[in-house]
Amino acid sequence: MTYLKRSNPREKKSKAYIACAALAILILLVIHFFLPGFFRGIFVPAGSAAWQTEEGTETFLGSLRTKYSLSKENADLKARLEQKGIDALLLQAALAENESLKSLVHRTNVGDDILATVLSRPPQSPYDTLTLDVGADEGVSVGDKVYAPGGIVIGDIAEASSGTSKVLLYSSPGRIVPAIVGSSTTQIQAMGKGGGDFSAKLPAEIHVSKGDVVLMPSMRIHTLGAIEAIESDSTDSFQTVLFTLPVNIHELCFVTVDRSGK
Amino acid sequence: MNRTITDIVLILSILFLPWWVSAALLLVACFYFHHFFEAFVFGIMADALYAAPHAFHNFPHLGVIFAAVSFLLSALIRERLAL
Repeated sequence: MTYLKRSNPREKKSKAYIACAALAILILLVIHFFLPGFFRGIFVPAGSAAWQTEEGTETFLGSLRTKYSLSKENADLKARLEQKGIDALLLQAALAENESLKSLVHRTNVGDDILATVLSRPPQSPYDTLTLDVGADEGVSVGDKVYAPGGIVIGDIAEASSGTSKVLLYSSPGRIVPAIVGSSTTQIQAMGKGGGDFSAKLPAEIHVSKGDVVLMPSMRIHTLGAIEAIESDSTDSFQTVLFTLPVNIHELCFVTVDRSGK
Repeated sequence: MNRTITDIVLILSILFLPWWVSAALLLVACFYFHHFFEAFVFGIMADALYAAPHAFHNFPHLGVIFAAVSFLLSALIRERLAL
């Protein structure tokens, strides 16, 4: 005699739950891939509110550092500041000369800058992006260049909503930017490696050395970094240079956005 | 209750902690909880918050892909081990 297996209501319920969840996920994925602005509109305002609260928490945590480590850091910073002061004097003179020379030929490098607070930065972001507290309401638009303190160009605006904007750093993995190495006028293609790092391939016969400055071709001075390592092989006709942005992108608090779009 | 706390911890980690911490937590949660469907929502959330057009070799969907891989991997291993 054969008996039909009685259907288990718990199993049925579980299957229905899985089917509903799978359908919901499918709908979410369709929205995510075909309407990318939908979830951005929900999560970014909520995220920016949370990040603004975080700044207060960081100030509290910062006050808990030990006195010894602070005094040691203070002494180091004083010594470095002294050296930087001397360098800054020379740089100021060179910049003034540069500006006066450009004005002679009716070219200027003055932009329409706006100060912005960095709400999120790497390593929170796996994409090497920053979120800023300025957006389309403040005149920020896609393509505007973004500068770290000291006028170091770090990326450009990739997305601008009403109150916030996203910066795609030049060092974002896979991003290719034109660059000029050292005193030569040879243009190379630097590729972002993430975390503020770049690599670039150039012919082995071009002489470069550690410490050579890497610039982005532009009227305004755009320093991408200084060469930190050179990898070359006698059997290869190319050499690879590695360099890093001169600012620590993990500690950026403020940046400026050039709204002129130059 | 545990699941709700995990969800809250994951949201906070996506907002404030390095991305690899969130990724590790998500992976652990996928293996610890049965049918951790929330993984997809967290992946979408991370992409919405941090991805930008043309980011990561023109593929700004790392969060969703990681969530999907974690979810499927955990489901597969759980099934094999009959957990």
